[in-house]
Order: sequence, then structure tokens, then C-alpha cells
Amino acid sequence: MPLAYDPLIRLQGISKIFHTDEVETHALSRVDLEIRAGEYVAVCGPSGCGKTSLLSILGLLDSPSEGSYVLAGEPVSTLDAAQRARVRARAIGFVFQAFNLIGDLTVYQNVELPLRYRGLGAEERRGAAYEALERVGLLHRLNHYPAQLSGGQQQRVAVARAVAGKPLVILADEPTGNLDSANGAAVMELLGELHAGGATLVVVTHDPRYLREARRSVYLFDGRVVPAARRDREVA
Amino acid sequence: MRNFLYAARSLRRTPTLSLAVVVTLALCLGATTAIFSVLYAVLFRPLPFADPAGILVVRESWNGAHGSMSAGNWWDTRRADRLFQHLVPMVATSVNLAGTETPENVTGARVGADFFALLGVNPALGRAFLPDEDRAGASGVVILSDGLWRRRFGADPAIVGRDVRIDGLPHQVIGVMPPSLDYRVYDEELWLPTGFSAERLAEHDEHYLLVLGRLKPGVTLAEAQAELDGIGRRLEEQFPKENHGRGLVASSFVEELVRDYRPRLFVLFGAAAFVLLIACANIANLLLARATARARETAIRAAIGAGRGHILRHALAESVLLAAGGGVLGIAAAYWGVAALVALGPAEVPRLASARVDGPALGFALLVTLLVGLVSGLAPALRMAGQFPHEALKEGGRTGGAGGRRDRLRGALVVAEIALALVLLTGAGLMIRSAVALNAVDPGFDPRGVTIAHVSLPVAGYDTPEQAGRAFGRIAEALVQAPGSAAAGLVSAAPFEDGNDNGLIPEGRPLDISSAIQSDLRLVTPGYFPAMGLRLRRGRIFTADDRAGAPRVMVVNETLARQAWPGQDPIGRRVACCERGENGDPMWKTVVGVVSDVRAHGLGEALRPEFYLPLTQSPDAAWNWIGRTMTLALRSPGGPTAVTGAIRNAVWSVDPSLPVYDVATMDELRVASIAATRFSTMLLTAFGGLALLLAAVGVYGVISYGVSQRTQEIGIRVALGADDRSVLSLIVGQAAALTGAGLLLGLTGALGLSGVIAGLLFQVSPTDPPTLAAGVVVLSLVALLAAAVPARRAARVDPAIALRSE
Repeated sequence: MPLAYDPLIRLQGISKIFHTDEVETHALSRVDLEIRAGEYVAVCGPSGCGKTSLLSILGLLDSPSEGSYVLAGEPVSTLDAAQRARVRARAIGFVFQAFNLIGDLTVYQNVELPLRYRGLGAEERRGAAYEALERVGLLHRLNHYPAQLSGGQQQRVAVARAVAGKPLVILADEPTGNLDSANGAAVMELLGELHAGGATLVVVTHDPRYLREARRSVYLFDGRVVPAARRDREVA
Repeated sequence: MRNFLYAARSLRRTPTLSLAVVVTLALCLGATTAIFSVLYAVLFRPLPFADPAGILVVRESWNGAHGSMSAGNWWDTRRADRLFQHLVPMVATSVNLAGTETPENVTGARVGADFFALLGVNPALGRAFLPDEDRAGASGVVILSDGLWRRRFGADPAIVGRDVRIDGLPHQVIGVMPPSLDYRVYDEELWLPTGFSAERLAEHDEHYLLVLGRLKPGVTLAEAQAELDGIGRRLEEQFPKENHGRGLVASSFVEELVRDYRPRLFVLFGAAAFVLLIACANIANLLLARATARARETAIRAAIGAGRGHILRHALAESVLLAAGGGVLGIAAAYWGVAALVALGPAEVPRLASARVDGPALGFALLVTLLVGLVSGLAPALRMAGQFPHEALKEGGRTGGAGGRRDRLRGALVVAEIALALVLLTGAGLMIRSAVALNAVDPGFDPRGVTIAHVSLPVAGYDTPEQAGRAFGRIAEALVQAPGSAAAGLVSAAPFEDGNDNGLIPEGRPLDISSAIQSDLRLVTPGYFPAMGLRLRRGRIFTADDRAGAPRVMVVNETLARQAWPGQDPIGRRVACCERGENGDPMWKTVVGVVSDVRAHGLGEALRPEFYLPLTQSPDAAWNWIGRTMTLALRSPGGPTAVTGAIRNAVWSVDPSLPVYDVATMDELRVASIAATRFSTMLLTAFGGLALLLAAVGVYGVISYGVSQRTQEIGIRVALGADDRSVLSLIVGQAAALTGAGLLLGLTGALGLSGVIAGLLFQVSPTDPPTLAAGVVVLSLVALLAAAVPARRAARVDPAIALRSE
């Protein structure tokens, strides 16, 4: 997959409809969104507005009900599960609110896991994992288990895991939601450094402090992207 | 009590799981209790005699084998012995009983007068034998078993003192034994005195008596054996021709009775116990899953003040309640199981028919039920009681898949299940291979289409050897002419039937017992060989010319030919056996033919030397040896149904009063001869199959539960790029690791226990590599198949949903 595309991500008319019994829920409605390589985009909005659904579609964890999604010049909205898994392994890094480290794996094993799925050799994996852990300042903890780390450390490991494979885009879903303010700030600083180094970031957040750090913010309301003027009215 | 009420309420909330546990337990407890009932009846229930452990069997030993005693040796031993309270001879007899309705052939026993004193059993009606009644020429008396008294005489309370006709002669009924005498050595239905004459008591060369003894109080078996050793030496000195090399040996009667069946029954009981253990492991696993799922509830209980003891008792109450449900249903299943085991079991197993779910079996079931409840509930209960409430209350924490290490116990239980299942599977496999090998053994004759029946001649009317020989000769002729008869003949004992043996000395060897080759003896009519399908290897079979007064002839089997004349032609060789001339000289018989070896003692038994004499040239004493009973064999393309009537008509054309009894086909006898192996194989295979099923359920349960616990972890992995194959291999890999550990442990167990089953196998090594490999392959496939279902479910985990559930 080519490394430089403009835009890196293009969503056109993306809708996501959930069917529960006979009830139809529109999580996303005709969302259009473009993200350039190296951009730092914050996604915000009230609870239930579709932020997580949008992130799931961006991360190829879910398929849109309608619309097209082009990632790095390649249409990905109609890929099957195996193809989506391959794209995720190569192009996308995730940071979750709940860290989502695997408790049975050590810090090192957690970080190298996506590289393993990508099919990299042992030496390559080790090098990338060490580099990522060094970047987040946790190389000395590589043989620890997640349960032996603090919340802030766990989230830094999650960031290391997200960046180890040098993905095209890092998707972070409320990365500070489970952290105290000091640890939250540290993680956001780390993400800022990654962006400064050229990484493309899409961060879902409620925190106005971190919204300001983003170069651009996308506001969602009732599954739609709301323009800035209307956003102010909705919020009011 | 309150704990049990709470437990019942919480079990009602999960009816499917509760029902699955109860049904599994019922099956396994039922099987174990049923096998225990049989084990107890055959091996442990006291014989219906006073102090059965004090009863000994005294046998003659010769060439390392133990055999029956001659009347002379018994009589001399009894007179010389100082340590036995009773030393009683016994011999089975087949008698024709008349007196009320149609004549009937009945199995009886001729016994010494103090037989019932030895057993310590008194008649329910009348009295036992008096010494005077056990003398040659004494008027006939008989004692009836309870069964015969009820069946044949309608439980007539005035039967004592009445006459019945036995073998055509009047016998006065002097007693009826109680129903509690439900074990009898020969399954005999009546007892007659031996009535030995002085000549018989001086006969030391015919060995046919079973001798039972009871020691005087305080005498040990070792002291008795020392006494018998001394008597044996004196008998050898006094009667060197008959007793050279012979000794006397005493052993426990009870031990002899059950010796052949003990290993087989213990293996089956062990197999049932293994299945029960597997079920326990499965149930413990289910309850562990339940305990984990209820961690929050337990934590809340603890948080509001429940102590560890409370939680432990509550958890154990559930498992004990489940076990009790399984136990009650299991006992019901055991009743059915015992009935099935008795119906399907080999008839030869002593006291099998008396097996029932009685007090000891119910006690066993109760104890096992309680143990199962405690064993399967202990680990889950300890886990529930051992949880720190704050951990459970903050469950759903911030990382995925931390349950893996916590559930090592569940993995260990599955490993144990697989190990036990492999031991059972390989055991079943070995038995199957053994049964197949046994079934493929060439019996040495052609049993297809051969029907046999039995006829016993009464003394009255047939009291001389000539009369008996003539009558059987006429029956043989009538049988050959019978409709549907392709070939027919008579034999003193067909293959698989108990027969007689005799010491046989080839000409040229010293004429004493040290030269004798102990060989099976069969008296036959010429038609027997074609009727039974024996193959002639050399020379000829008997003809009508081999009559009384003609040169004495014999036919030998290949084994005897090899042993007596290695590398030489046996035809024309002479042999001394079975009788002496008037001056004590041997009566030589010339070998005229060699026939194929017959597996007469069972398909799995070693071949023995065997010889055939024409019925027309039978030694006079032989009529006593064979109890004046012959087996009729008729080969017919029509099958047994078509010829049974023809056999009866042939016999009745000679004497309509003769009962024809125990009609069977040779195929039935062949199958019966391997019935014990087939029965053990069938049960072990059933246990192996059940173990396989339970192990599969165990693997499925653990992997399935693991998948449900790891849904979030799987979601994370998928989010990080894991494809279906990675997820499948993750889950199946876990099952493979558990299975591999179980197989390794199971193989070690199977090899370690190989000695236990070795004695039950035929032509198969207990460490037979193909069988072990087959067990490993079958169990691996089943375990992986069981894991494949939850693995596929794992591969279909939707990461968006899995991660949302955090």
C-alpha cells in the first residue's frame, strides 16, 4: 500500500444502521469526511452521537451500511473479513479507552502482537517493539504483565502497540477516559509527539483541553457531521 | 438445611445445567454401582456355608499341574490325616429323574456322607446323609435342592420319605436343603451318596474326585499342607505305579472359585470408576464455570458479612444436592444395569445370577454419591470462598483475557479427563483386538451346522458296560439314519465341554507314571469325525470293524503325535493306557490315524495332547468316568431347529424313556467359550465410548467457556489484525495443548497399567503400539472436533461488538 495519499482517508455518504428486533437505529447518516496524511483530527459529540461507530468504520472493525470508504487510495468498504484484517494489521493502530491489553501476554508480547499478525519476522518484530517501547519510556517493563502496571503505564503500552507497526493512521477512542488527569495529560502529550513526528491521528475525546490540541475537530450529532456554526447552536 | 434450600433454589435457576449434571452422574453412578453389585456377588458376598474361608480343596499335584483325586488316594488320605475335621469327596453326575411326570435329566452330585456337615448347612426338611447310607449296596437315598423341590415337586411339604426314581432305581427323599444354599459347586439340584465299594476305594489310578476339606479348629493351612506332603509321600511309596511323582496340595476353596474372574471384574470396576472420575472432573468444570460466573453474587454475600465457611457450605450444598439427584437416578439405573449384566454375562461366572442391588450395593452407591458431591464440588467451593470480594466487585477491569491463568485448574481437570479416557480407550482397543484375534482362531473343527445333545443312560436296564455300549451304538446308528443328517456320531465330551484325561505311555518307554503323557480322552463312534468336521492328517479314522474283540486302536491328535513320537510316523505305534489286563499287564492300543488339533478347552487355551478310542472298545471303567453320558453330534444343512426333533426321535427309537437334554449348536458352544472375553470387551468398549464422549464434552466445555471469557481479548486481537485462521489456531491451539498434556499423561498411565490388563489379552501385547496410536488419534480427533465448535464461534467474534462490551 502506498504510504502517501491525499487525502489519506475519504468517507462519502457513510451510513450505519443497526437493526434490533424491529427497531432500526441510524448510528451514522450520510457522513462525508476527509483526513489528510499527518492530520490530527479530534472527533467529539454527545454520548450516543455515533463517535464509536465512526471510529469502528474508520478502523475497519465494522462495515458501513451505505457509502464508500477509501483508505490510502484503496476502496475498503466492501472488503471481506480476511481482507479487512490484513488492512488493519498493516495500516491502522488502535488506542482504546480501556487500554485493552491482553492480560496473559507480557508488555513486549502485547506490543509485538500486531506485528506478528502482519507476518513480520522475529528480528523485525523485536526491533520495532523495542523502539516503540523506548518511545513511550517503558522498555524496562517489557517482561511485566499488564496487571503489574499502573493505568497510565498500561495506556502507554497501548500507544506503543498502536505505533510499533508504523500504521498509516492511529485511531484513539477516549484514550484518557480511564486515566487521572496527570496520566491523561502524559498520554495526550505522547500522542502529540507522535503527530509532531508525522503520524496521522484520529482521536475521539470529550475533553475540551485535548480538543484544542487537535488541528481539526469533527463534531457529530445524531450520527451526522455538524458544521461549526450549527455545532455551537446544538451545544447551546 | 437452609443451605440446601438455597442450593435447590439456585439450581432451579439453571435447569439445563442441573439436569445435565444429574443425568451424567446417574449414568456413571448407575454403571459403577451395577458393576460393584456384580463384583460383590461374585467375589465378596460370603458363600452360603458356615465359615466359607475355612473350606479347602485338596488336589493331587503332578508335573506341576493340580488335578482330581482318585478314590483310593482320597480314602487313604482321609484315614491317615489327623488335621482335617472333614475330608469329603464329590463328583458331578447326570441322572434321569422320574417319579412324578415325564423323565428329566438333572445335574446331581455324589458326595460323602459328611458333605453337609463340612458345609455347615442343615436341611430345611428332613435330615442329611448317615454314614451307613454312604456304603456300596445301601438302599438309595437322595437330598433335593430347594429349587428342584419347588420346580419338580411343587414344594410338597410331605416329600420327605417319598420314593423317586433316579436312573430307574427307587431312591427315598430324606431331605430338602434350604433356599439359602444358592451356590452349588456343579449347580447340582440333588445329592446322592458316593457309595464307594471296597474295590473302588482301592483304585488309585482313576482321578476324578473333587475333594473338599475343613480343618480342625486352630490348624493352619501351612500345617495342613505339611501333613498332606507327608501323606503324599507315603502314598507314592505304597502305590509307586499309580502315584510316582504325585503329591497332595491344599488351597482355599473360595480363592479357587473366584481366581479366574477377579482380575476381569476388577478391570471392569476400575473402568467404571475411571468413567465416574471423568464425570466428576466434568461436573467440577461446570461448577467452576458457574462459580466464576457467580463471582459477583459471592462477593456481595461476602461484602454483607458471609464468612468463608458460609460460602463454602453453600457451594458444597449445591454439588451434594446435584450428586444426590444423580445418586437416586443412578441407583434406579443400577437396577437395570445389574439385570442387563446378569442377562448378558457369561453363564460360567459363579454367582453372577445372584447379583442384585442389595444393602452393600446401596451403601456403596450412597458413599460414592457423597464422595462425588464433595470431590466435584470442593474445587469450585474453595474458589468461591477464596475470592477477595473487591476483586470480583471490580470485575470487568481494564485488560482482556486475564482469566486464562486463573483457569489453570479447569485445564488441569480436562487434562486428567483426557488421560483417563485414553487409558480406557486403549484398554477397550486392546480387548477388541484380543477378541478379534480370539474369534479368528481356527478351532480345528467345523462347527457350522453341527447340533449337539446329551443322553445319560440309567443304571437300571443298562447296568453292564456291554448293555450301555450297545444302547449308545444303536443310538448312533439311528442318528446317522435321521432325516436331515449329513453325518452323525457320539463323543464322550464335545469340544468346549468338560471331559476326561488319562496318562498314556508310548511303547518303548518305562511302564510307569513318569513316562505318561497326560492326554484328553474322547470315546467316539466312527461318525463323530465327519460330524464334527475334524480333518484327517494321516492314516484312517475308526470304522465299524473296530469293534469289541478286534485289535485295539486309537486315533491321536497332532500335538500328541508330536510329543509321543517327535519326527516319526505315529501310525502303527502302540500305546498303553486306560486299562490293564487281568494280570496287570498293559493293554496296548495301536495308533491308526492322526487328526487335526482341536481347541477343545477354549479358543484361547493352549493345545493339549488328545486321543480318541472307539466306543465299542471302551475300557469298562470309562463308563464311570463319563457318568454313562454321551454327547450326540449331528451335522445337518438344515440347522438346529430342523434336527432337534430328529435327534430326539433317534434316541427314543432306542428307548423312549431317555431324556434328551442340553441341545445346542457347536457355534453356540464356540461363542460361549469366548463369552467372558466378549462380555469384558463389550463393557470396556462401552466405558471407553462413554469416556470419549465425556472427555469431548469436557474439552468442549472448557474451550467454549474460555471463548466466552476471552471474547474481548479475541476482539482486541481481531482489531489488531488477527484473521480467522489466527483466531482458530489460537483456540484450537489451547485445546491441542490440553489434549497433548492429557495424552502424554494417559499414555504413561496406559503403559503403567498394562500389567493389569495383560492377563485378559490374547495374542496382543498390553503395550501394543497400533492400539496405543489408535487411541491417541481417536482422542485427538474427538478433542479437536470438540474444540472446533467454540473455535469457529471465536473466529466469528465481531470486534466492534466485543470491544463495545468492555
